[in-house]
Amino acid sequence: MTLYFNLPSISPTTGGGGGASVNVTPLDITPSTSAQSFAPATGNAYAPVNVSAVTSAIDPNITASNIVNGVNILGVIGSASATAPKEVARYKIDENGVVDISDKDVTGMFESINSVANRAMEYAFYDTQITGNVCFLNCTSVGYNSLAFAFANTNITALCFPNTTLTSDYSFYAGARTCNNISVVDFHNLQTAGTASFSYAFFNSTVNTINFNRLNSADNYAFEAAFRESKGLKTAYFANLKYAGANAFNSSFSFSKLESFDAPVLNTIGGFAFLQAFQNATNFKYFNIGGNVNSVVAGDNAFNSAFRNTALVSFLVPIAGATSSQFANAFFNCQNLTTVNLYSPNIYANSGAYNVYLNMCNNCPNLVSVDLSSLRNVGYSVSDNSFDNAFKNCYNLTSVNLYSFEPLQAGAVFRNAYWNCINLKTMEYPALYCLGTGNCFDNAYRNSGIQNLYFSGLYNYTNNGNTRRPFVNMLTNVSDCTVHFPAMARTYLENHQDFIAGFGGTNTTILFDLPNVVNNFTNFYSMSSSGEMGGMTLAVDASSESADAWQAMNSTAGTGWHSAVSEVEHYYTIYCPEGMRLTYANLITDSTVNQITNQPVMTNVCVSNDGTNWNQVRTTMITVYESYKNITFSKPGYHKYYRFYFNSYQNNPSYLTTINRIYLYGSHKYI
Amino acid sequence: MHIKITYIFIKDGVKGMACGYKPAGEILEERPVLYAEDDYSLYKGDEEVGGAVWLKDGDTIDNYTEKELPPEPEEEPEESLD
Repeated sequence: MTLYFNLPSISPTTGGGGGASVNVTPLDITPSTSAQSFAPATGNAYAPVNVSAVTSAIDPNITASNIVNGVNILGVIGSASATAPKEVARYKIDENGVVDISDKDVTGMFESINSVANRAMEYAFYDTQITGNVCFLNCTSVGYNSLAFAFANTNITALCFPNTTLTSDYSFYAGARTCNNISVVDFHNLQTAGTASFSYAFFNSTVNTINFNRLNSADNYAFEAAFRESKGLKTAYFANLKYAGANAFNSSFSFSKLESFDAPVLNTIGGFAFLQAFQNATNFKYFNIGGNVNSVVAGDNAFNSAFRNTALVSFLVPIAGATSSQFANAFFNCQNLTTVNLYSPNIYANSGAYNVYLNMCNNCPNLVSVDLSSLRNVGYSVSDNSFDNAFKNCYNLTSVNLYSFEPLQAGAVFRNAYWNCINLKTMEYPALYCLGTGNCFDNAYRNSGIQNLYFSGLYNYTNNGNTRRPFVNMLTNVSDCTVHFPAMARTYLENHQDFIAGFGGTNTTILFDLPNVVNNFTNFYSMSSSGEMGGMTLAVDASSESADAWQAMNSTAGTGWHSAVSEVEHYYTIYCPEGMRLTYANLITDSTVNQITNQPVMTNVCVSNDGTNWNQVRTTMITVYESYKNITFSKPGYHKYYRFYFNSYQNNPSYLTTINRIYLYGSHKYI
Repeated sequence: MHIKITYIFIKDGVKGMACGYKPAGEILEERPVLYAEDDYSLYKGDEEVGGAVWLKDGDTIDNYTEKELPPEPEEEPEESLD
């Protein structure tokens, strides 16, 4: 601050001197952060000039919180904590030119990395003391083995690759294995996990939060043992996962603290995909895959030992096909399991599959019901033991639905299946038509509570010789059971050694009291209004809304069923008074014959037991490019009426086609 | 070897077979059944006839012997639990 004095020559007023007088006044100045100028007028002067002391008011930023604790600035004592500048890495270069960061906080170090080349960071920080959040913020690609063991046995707190969309083979193999401070794993933009890319990645670690929300596909071994023995993870959620390859989740969560696994759109899983996946995760309760789809395709051993020794309560997954050892040991010793439901709308069969349900629910004391109503058949081989011990020690089991199970094959398919099922009182095999060549029901119901068994679908007795032992000891240690067969079975079976031995039970009654079953549908070469099938005359009717409506004609050239020039639906009804059970229908269109216009035709199939109330069971579309169309019936049951509707496409009368023949496959009953 | 009686009977128009006890209903036929112990099979001379046989037309227990079945082939071991 500069004070300016503009004074004339001053001499004090003393009298007689003859000099000019000056007006002197005091000047008080308040300090400012800006420059100030004070100029008295001519003839004036400032005295004294008083400058106030500078206080903290001179700058509003002079506050306690902005001053280091204990430091006094203009009377304001600071309260802010003193922190030294954050040391991201203190580089100490040794005599070899090596930078040692082995005990440093590495947060922020990897943010500028765009990609990690093959093997580039393999073992990079393995077994060091590094800490902090590892975040490869801008990394979009990682090569094979690129980060294998990279952060294993360290103290990192997070592993984040938020912008990586694809991992290569083995890219994170054991990458953060045995990290005891890690909490978060973030791969939220990852869409494809490459082969073994996370195998053992977080084994024996403390991970508690994972984000793979955009993961669509997990290749073979992708998550093998990834979270095995992990100590913190409770929930695994894969919102968009659709495909899991072979061994994708092999042992992934075994011996961990996991409680829940949810992949709602997962619909294709490879062989061994969930082998031992949750085994010995004793808190594991909830499993959901395919909850939003109709069926899940699962390969060999897909669920072998998957839930063994867990707290799983229910398994509700629509399985599309049986494969070898698919559910072997799956729920072994699941003490809390109450329900297993594998039903899918796609009725399935795989005669090449074996040991499908071996030990599946062995020792599940609270299991009450099992739904296998989509299963049509299993193993063809003599080594098939598909239901061997499947439900052993299921003391509370009351219901097993094998509604669609058809033939028995060569193996001991149901050996020991229901051992000790003391509350299983009744079972029916409505579709089982053939006894097979193996010891199919060898000790099947031993020590159980079975009281009534119904083999209501049986009609093929070609394997009834005494050398075949389908029912050998079926009722070991069972008393007072009644076993029911169709009436005609008596002729073939009453002299069979297993029958006359009462299947090994005590006080066994065998009744031949069920309706007979005949399966001899053949081609319809000549359909008339009275229609014939296999020697049985069945009443049929066809709609006759118009003169040119569906008429049964023979299959020579120029004939067949023609849709009429009408918007009214047309149908062909088949009737059997005792009931008919169709499993397939095969519609043959001869597109070279008498075509008027080649257009698709919609076919509905409805069933009824009174000819009045109808339930639709199938819908299919026949296009001009198809010479035949197969219709399968899921959960086929016995109905008196089947009606095949042939509707012009979009009800357009210009759209016509010709159906020449219907082949029907199934069985029907007669008394 | 043991002998047990099996009855062929009719009740309510339905033909049935009761093994090991006498049922209600019209008895059509009483059949003595010779059956082998567990793990044994019946032989008539050198011919194996199986685990049980209906004795008829004067056939008697004296015509049969009981021989132990050969052991079943070893099954594959279960998967280890490691």
